[in-house]
Amino acid sequence: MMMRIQKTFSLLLILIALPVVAAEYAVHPPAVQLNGKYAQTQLVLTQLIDGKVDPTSEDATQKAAYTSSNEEVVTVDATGLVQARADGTADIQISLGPWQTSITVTVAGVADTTKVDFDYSVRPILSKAGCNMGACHASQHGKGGFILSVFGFDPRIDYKGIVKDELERRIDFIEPTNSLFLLKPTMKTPHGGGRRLTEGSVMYDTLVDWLKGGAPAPVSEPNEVVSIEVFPKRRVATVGVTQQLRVVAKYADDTLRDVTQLCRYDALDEGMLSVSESGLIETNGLGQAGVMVRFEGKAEICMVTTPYSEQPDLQEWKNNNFIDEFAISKFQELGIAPSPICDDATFVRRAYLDAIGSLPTPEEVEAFVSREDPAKREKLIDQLLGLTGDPALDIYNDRYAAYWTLKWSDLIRNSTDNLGEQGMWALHNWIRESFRVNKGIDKFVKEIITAKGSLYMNGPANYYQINSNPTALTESTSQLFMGIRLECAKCHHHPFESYSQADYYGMAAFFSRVGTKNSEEFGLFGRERVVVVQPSGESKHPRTGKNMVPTVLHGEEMEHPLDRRIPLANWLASEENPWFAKSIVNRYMSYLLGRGLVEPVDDLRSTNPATNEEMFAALADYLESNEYNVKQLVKVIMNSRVYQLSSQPTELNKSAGKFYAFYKVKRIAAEPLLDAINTATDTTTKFQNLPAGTRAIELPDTNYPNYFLKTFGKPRRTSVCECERAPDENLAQALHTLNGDTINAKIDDQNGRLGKLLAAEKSDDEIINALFVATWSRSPTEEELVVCKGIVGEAAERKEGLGDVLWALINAKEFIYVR
Amino acid sequence: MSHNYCDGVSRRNFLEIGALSGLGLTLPKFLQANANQKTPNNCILIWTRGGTSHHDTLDPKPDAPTSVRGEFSVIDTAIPGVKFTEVCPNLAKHADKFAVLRGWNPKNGSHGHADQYVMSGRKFNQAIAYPTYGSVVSYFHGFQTAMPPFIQLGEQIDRRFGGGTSGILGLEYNPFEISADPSADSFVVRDITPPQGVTFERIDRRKNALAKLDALQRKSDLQQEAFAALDEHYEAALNMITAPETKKAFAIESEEEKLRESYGKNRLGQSCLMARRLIESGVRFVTVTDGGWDTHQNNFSGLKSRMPPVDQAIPQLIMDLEERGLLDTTLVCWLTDFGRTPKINSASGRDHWASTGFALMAGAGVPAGTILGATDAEGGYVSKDEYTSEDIAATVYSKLGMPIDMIAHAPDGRPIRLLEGRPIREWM
Repeated sequence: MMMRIQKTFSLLLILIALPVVAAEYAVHPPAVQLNGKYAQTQLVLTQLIDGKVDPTSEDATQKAAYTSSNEEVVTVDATGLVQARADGTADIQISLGPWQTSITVTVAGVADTTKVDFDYSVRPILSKAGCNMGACHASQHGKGGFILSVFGFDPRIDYKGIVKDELERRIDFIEPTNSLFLLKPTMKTPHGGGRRLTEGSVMYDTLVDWLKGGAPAPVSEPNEVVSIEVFPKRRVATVGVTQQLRVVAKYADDTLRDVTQLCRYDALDEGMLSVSESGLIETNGLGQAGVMVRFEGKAEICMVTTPYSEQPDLQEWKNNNFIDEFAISKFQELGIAPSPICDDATFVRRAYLDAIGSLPTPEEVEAFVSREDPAKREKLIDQLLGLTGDPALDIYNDRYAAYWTLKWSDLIRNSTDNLGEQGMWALHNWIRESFRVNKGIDKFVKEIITAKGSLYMNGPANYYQINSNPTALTESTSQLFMGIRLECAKCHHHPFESYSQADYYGMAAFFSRVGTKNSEEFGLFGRERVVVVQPSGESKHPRTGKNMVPTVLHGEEMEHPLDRRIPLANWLASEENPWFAKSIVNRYMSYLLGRGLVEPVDDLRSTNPATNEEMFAALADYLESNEYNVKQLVKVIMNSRVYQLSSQPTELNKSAGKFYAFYKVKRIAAEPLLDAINTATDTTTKFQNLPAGTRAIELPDTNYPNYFLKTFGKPRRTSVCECERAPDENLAQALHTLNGDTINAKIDDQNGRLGKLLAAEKSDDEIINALFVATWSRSPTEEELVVCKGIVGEAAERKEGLGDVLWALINAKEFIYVR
Repeated sequence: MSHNYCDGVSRRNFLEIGALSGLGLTLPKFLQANANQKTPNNCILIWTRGGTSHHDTLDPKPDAPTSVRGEFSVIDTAIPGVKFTEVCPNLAKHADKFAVLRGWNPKNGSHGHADQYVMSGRKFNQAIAYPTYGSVVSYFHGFQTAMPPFIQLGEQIDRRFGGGTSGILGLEYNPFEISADPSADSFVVRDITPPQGVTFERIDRRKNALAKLDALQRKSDLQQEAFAALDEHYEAALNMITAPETKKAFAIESEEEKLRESYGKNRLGQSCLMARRLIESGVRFVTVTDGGWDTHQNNFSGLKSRMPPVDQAIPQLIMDLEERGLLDTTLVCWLTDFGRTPKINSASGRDHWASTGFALMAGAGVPAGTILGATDAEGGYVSKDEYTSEDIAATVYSKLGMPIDMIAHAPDGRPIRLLEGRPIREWM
């Protein structure tokens, strides 16, 4: 039916394009066929530009007037929503100013007495009204005893809950409108969930009809939705305009159905746009954001862009590499002028902290700033990453390895709590060595996935001790190496993606034959645990009870006679896996630029679009074509102009941070911050059971009795979520830096930086300058120098005053942030 | 960009109030709507870590065989017909001032899980770190004065499973911990009391120095969001360090010696007194922690030394609050891991018992002088009016003016209902 309509539509477009028919608006769809008593369709009226509909075309649906030639057959309301009333044909007249047109509506099937189908008609209403949300009747114990399945993934549960449970008390077959099932959501009886349904609405009447027909149970093989299509998919607009969406669902039997009224709509950035229950978008801010449209387990996006300005000033912009090409086309599209490039002092500080997690020493700052070499930034990046090829220059490789080991140890969750001391060290040493030799990240992942043997001897094998069952392994592996959060699909259909339980347990099947057992050895390494592959073990689909064949997400079945993990590893860390390179790129973009192309950083899905899809794809290609060399990835990002922009936003780009219009500041994490304080004050911190001089970024484990690290949120490594290292500041941290003994003792240390400067009998000016370079990696301005001398003057003693200056420098944002 | 999750609520909203969300009322609006109402009740929670035996304290079984009854004899209480053991003479004497739940079913017999479960009302779940009461209070009600809304005294909480912490709500809502002993002469509070060699004048100077340097950095009014958040915390911290109520609250030495003695000049007693001072200074939730209750061995001699401070401090705290007119607005709770085995083991101890235990509450409208629920003849199972930790949690939430159908979001965005219980009807 709809197929025909679409053909007619293209025909009509051709007609419109002819100069003879000088129409100004296009009606979508150009002709309507409604099937069934409750069939509806949404009309969308779009202004034509040069005879065509393009993303900048204005939506005129709300402005037009609609009348039906026969209200007995079909009615239409002011919003262009068409409702079937009786079988027959009628015209709908649409007028807007002098322009007018009419479309034909054919209605059939209203008289059809076929019973209302549960899957087709009832469940979408439960979803639309929100009854089956996790927080409502789909919570563990339901609400008020009434239990539904989450987003309706299991119609049997829903049917039982509505019709059968509690002696059928929710249903009144004699007087259907008297059913508790209808009295509650219409608030005729008090309802904790508030009003969810209006009496006399199409949704209400549909439910009444279902009950009148004896509330037929769901059928065993329902006609499922295979896809939904949103019109328009993309819109470029100004602030304060509306756009009506229209959504058509395609069913397994190839029929099409207008489901605009039955979808759930979510604005992905409420600061930029809002969307109504019936799919009417209203823009209220500048930028780019999507509206997520969901129906029956399918989700799609309509992207809306509202440019910041028409002609951004991009004259100063120069591309450093391919990343910038994609950045600038986004800036042009959105009308953003990025902040200028940062100065050398800012850059050297930023580069050290981002690449090796260390604050540059005053000597390192001065060496860089004073160097007159146009390529010095590039050279510094190579030096920090150990890529110069000159052993005399590649002196930071160990710190690079330590810092990135820290990041990956958080993700992999290496800790004594999980592994005991020997396991923890084995895993730590393996990770650290991998980064020291710059192992390809694909190889790194493959070694983890296929790891076997002793937990004490083979570091990566500990992955199977940390994640000790197929479900934990499935979830961790998907989230860590694909950026996919599959855990929703363990119990129900993923709410924003097409992942089902079959996908989940298909992945779990790869891990169903791996386990750990106690070693039979005696001696030093005796009684340890060993990862082994067993000859049997299956993953069962919890609803069908069938054994699942190992299957990668949206991919092929992959059985293996010896170890199912081998084909998984080969697929996982390869170009065949559409998510692998992207998940790595996204993490590194967020580590370096303060924000991933997709946020949250480990939640890649079609309904969570990247802020710059083209840049994302290009970076993923780059990683793949460079043999998954992570240092090369870090290098190319750090060499880009977007990485080197100033962190000071401008009036014009202040809300465009997610497009990398300026460098986003980030708080220095607990361990590098402690190291930075040590560097700034020229002191050290001693950690239990580790040699003196060990930096905080080198700590292998999670638990150290260090108040500073504990307060600043060193993660306990209990979750694979990047979010465990909470970026939020808290009161205890502020109290500790402001008033705590950690910093105070380091400031006062006789052998620390200030102590030595005083002992060397330097002048106030010299000392203040040295303290600035040691903390903020730059010299003070004239003004700052005056202020600091004032601070020294106010103190009773010179030493105290200079201590206060150092204290203030360390507590300032200029210090605590990578900026 | 904000992110939408499982049911389309963005993390920025973070929290909605179940039924109210249906009316389009989000938290800020709800708070606004509530702004004119009286300030919510506060709470002092006493946590005896390890699992205080119910048999040997508030739920004795004098008629059970010796192997169950234990060494202690029973004594009459202020409530006719109700008996406690001899190690609770003061609690017995003032039994008309609080309510005891004997029908608590802890449904758990392991440490760590207990700290997490009992103080959040949600069973441990690997995937979701449920926040403890104080964190939720802190999150929901925020600051009242310069003092942090949630303070923990002592470190006797098993945190292996996230017990007593803010969990999914984020670090910001963790308790402000005071590990120093308020009964010690040298009592100082870490990071509040300036470090050695730093006077309050110097703190003021430092504060000015920081403000001046910071002002120079702000060439324009534009600054990134992260900076603004930091400013907020720094301001709160500096307020706290310099506010008069802070200095006053921690100055426990200013209490009359007689009163200090009536709480007991020991860590628990002085912690209870400190808790009262903190509530007076604007703290909303104080957890007082006490350890050493895991009496697998020498249960009886252990309790003989552990019980007296508790027996002295709790009634005293209730009476002191009452005298100051604070009891109506302050909920006092005594909770512990679980009960202990009816059967006494070969080491004269009692082991973990997952099916029975007790809970004590007073103030904030809890009917004083009542005993709710009962256990069977050997104290092994609840025989009447069974309530779980979920219900205790719902009671605490309700008493503290928080909706029991509160939804928070896990860091991965899933909407999480914080509670599943129902308030204890008899205590509401």
